Amino acid sequence: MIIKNMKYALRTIKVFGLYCILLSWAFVVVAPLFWLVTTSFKEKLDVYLGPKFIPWVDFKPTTRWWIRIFTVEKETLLRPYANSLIVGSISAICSTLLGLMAAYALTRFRFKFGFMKNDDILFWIVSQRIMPPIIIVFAVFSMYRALGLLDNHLGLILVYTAFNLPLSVWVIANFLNQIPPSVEEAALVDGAGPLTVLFRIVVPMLLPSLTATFLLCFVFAWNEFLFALILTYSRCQTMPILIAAQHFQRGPQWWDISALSVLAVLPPVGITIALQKYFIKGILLVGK
Amino acid sequence: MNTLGRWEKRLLLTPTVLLLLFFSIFPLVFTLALMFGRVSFTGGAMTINFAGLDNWRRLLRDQRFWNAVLVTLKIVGIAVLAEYCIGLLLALLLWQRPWGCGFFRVLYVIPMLLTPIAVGYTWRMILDVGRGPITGLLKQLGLSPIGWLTESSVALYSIVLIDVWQWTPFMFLLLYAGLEAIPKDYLEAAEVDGASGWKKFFYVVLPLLAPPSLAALLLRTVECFKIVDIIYITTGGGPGQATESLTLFGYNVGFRTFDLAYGATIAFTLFFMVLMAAMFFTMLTRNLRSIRLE
Amino acid sequence: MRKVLVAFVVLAVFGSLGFAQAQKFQGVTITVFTQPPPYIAKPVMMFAPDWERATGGKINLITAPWGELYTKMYASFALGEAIYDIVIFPSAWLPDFAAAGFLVPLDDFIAKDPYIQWEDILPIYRERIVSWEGKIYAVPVDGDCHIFYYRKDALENPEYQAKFKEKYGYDLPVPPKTWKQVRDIAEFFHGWDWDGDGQIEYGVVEPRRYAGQADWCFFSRTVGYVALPGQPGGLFFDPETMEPRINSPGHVRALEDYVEIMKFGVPGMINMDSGEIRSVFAAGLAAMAIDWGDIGVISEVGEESTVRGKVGYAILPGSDEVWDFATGQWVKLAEPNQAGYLAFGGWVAGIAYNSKHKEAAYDFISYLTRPENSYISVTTSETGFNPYRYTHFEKLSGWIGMGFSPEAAEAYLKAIKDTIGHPNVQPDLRIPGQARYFEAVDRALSRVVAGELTPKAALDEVAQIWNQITASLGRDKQLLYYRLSLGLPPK
Repeated sequence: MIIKNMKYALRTIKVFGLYCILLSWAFVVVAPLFWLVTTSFKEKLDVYLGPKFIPWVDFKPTTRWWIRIFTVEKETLLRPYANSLIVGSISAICSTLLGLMAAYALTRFRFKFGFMKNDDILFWIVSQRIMPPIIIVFAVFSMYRALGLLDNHLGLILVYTAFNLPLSVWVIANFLNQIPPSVEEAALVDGAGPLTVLFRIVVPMLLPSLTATFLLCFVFAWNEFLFALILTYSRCQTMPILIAAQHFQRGPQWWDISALSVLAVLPPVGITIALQKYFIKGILLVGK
Repeated sequence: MNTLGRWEKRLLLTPTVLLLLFFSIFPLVFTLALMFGRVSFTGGAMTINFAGLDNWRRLLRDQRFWNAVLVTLKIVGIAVLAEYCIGLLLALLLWQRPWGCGFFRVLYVIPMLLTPIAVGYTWRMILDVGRGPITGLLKQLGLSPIGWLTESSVALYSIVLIDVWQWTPFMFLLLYAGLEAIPKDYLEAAEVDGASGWKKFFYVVLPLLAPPSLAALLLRTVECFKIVDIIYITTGGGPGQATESLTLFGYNVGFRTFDLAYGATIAFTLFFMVLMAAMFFTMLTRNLRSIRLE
Repeated sequence: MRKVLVAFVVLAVFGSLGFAQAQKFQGVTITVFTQPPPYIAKPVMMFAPDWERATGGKINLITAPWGELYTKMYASFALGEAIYDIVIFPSAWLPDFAAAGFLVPLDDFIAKDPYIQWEDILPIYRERIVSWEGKIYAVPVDGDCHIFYYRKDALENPEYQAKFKEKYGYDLPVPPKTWKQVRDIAEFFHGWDWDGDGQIEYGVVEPRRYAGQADWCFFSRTVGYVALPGQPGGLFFDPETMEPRINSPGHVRALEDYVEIMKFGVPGMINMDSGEIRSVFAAGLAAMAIDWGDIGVISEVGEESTVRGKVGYAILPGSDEVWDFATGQWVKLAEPNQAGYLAFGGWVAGIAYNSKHKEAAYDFISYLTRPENSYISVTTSETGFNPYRYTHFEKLSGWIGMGFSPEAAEAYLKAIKDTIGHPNVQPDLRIPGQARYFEAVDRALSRVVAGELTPKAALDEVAQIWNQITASLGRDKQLLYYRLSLGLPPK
């Protein structure tokens, strides 16, 4: 009886401890976000004479910055938002698609280009992500200038697709390694063409991991700063540039930055929530 | 499995390879030219003159360079380790499927979704020694404020803190998936054998987590080496040189003085360091794979 | 039939002439490049519609964040990209751009222009700031100098003045004339609530952040120590030999002040750039500050200001001990040596060498900068344009309309005019490579302030780097350019 109670007590302590840790980290995550959101509702003096914590208790919240964003600054906001959405989603789709094709090829067939075998090719692809962007930026700038790809969507889409490809190839290849080729082989024996096999059989099995890859590529493209800065001027500016531009001759405009950052995080969060079940099931197969 | 003709096989791989070549060949050549050259601008045209190993000699003697290397290594070493440990802890806990785990899963991912610039500004506000909330709380408790971003001894750790806050989700996700992938039978077999709790963890879970761990560590290390946004927004590399990472150093040299040649040299050094790290992890992965096959 | 045809042709010719006159630049699009609005870009946006209506042309405004401005301009010029027609940039970059041939000389345009009133521009701006090797390469749109700000309600308070005298043994000077006095005043007002608002206030707020324009703040503090009247070139180089003067005892002492005053600065000052200190001062947290004209505007007119009407304006303090380069000694003066410093030189508008619409571009620049319109820009808040024409200082109505009280407007304008018109006013460094020279200083400052280097060691290092830069650009050429920038004849 005593032992049973002790076991029960131990378990309760364990559960308590578990939630302590979970909630602590949840607090760590939420607290800065709370600060970010409340700042977007603060008057300038509330920020400079801060810190002011709780709305309605420490300071009177105002919606003027939000209103200004949606009325006066609507034009300035709409364009980067749309640009980010367009460039982000298209480049993510391309990265995922091309990554799928390349990963499939590298895991199902044997290649040999000179001395490079499958593993080497894979490493070369991944190494493209190792290149620090500052090396590439000026070179790409001059290439784009010559090709007329500056300040337009296509230019950014190409760059982001290329820079997220290593990620998508690496992740998808890992997934593919978990799936035994037997199912595909069976289908081929049954007379299905190879492309049909790819799209009708492999893709459905991979769908979760494909959505995971899409999300990661989208987020990296959505939040990218350096290339967007150098390769665009006005037509094709993206959200990160808009946020950075809020640092004026008066110092950072904390309230505007906060409001814009909240707006900027909505699409990635939305996509994450929507794709949640796929996402978790998706990276499911990475480990092994 | 070779029912696809050679060309169809190649076709699958080609777009990827072409796209990557497009963005890597010219930049690589350009960078090599810059590294061994000297840049000047006259009348609208940029000319690169050959300068041999000048840039390299200058780099190796440059105390600022070695400082940046040290700063970067410190940040990467501490941050990635911390992110791994915290991510692992969180993943293990949520793996128990406690009530509300779905909510926690989404919540924990959010920091990674914010633009790094936004994260930088947010933490700059929070760690502000004059008007930030942490200072406010410390004062309320009667303690003196700490210059998180203004004291040389603390600034670097503040950067680590911010990086950990933002990127632990990345580790968490990959490790959680790794845990979910462990076949139930392995765990059940271990339990039948009498192992439980810690034993199960060390002898079954951890080894099975090795591959996703290495994958996550590789990806995160590669990214962390390039850290710049957070530092640029919060401390600008300061106080003094306390938080100037390699990328920021290269950025300051290249963008503020337009000394492209020297900037390219710095960037290449970074590239080389990250390459070494990546190769290290890849080697580990391959060794692990061969061990496990036994 | 022929008569009809002739009539038609005549009508068409006259009609098109008339049409052409009303729509001079019909169909032409001019691209203007500068930093994002409001500062500097706002006036462009204000005046573009009228210009477009009058000329049929179109203005396309492109912007990039301040930190990236130099890079993008240089990159597009250097790589031959013909994107911008008009660039609005800090005049400190003019030597680099002009020497590299990136800008169109404007002398002919200006000579033929009846509207621009070139003589209305203060001499130092029209003759030195925008010219290079005898030609004019840009039009000033903004006048820049550093002035000194202080809180009248603190420094003029009789009770505090008495306490100050007790503690330091001399009368509290309002405004302070030497940096030693500034130090004492800052110490006196540091860390207590002297304006009764329930908040703790501090002594000073000045920029110290790397890449945050702290270098100009340093030079403002140096000018009094090194610029003896009659001895040009004290701030940067020896005008005879091009030897750097950056590590002179005068500079070292200024740097020691620069570090020491931080003890009495607003917490977190080490991370603040020139923009942030403005809002901090306007929020009432400091007793003194150094800045361009912006603090004045923000304090009197800005909504985040709690100090309206409480701000005093003065020329920069100096020193009664000045370093004499001729004798290599300190000299003690009866009256403190206070000189003006044209920090940054001001923003200017130039036309890109590869623009396809130079005429139209000049036309817009002229429209933007003619007296009436520039007066409006200068007296509208958040334009970032500070006064630079005689008419800007003479008419008070615009300033009052902006929100200044008449007394504040007078005091503010007096401080600026006294600085710009000061007999010993020091221009900013205007030779090729300016960005590189200043970058070395900026680096050194941030390291000294973080305690990594001593002032003397740091400035000695900067002197070395400066010599390297000079050597790489050609010492003789640099010497020539330096002398020209000081208004000295070539050797």
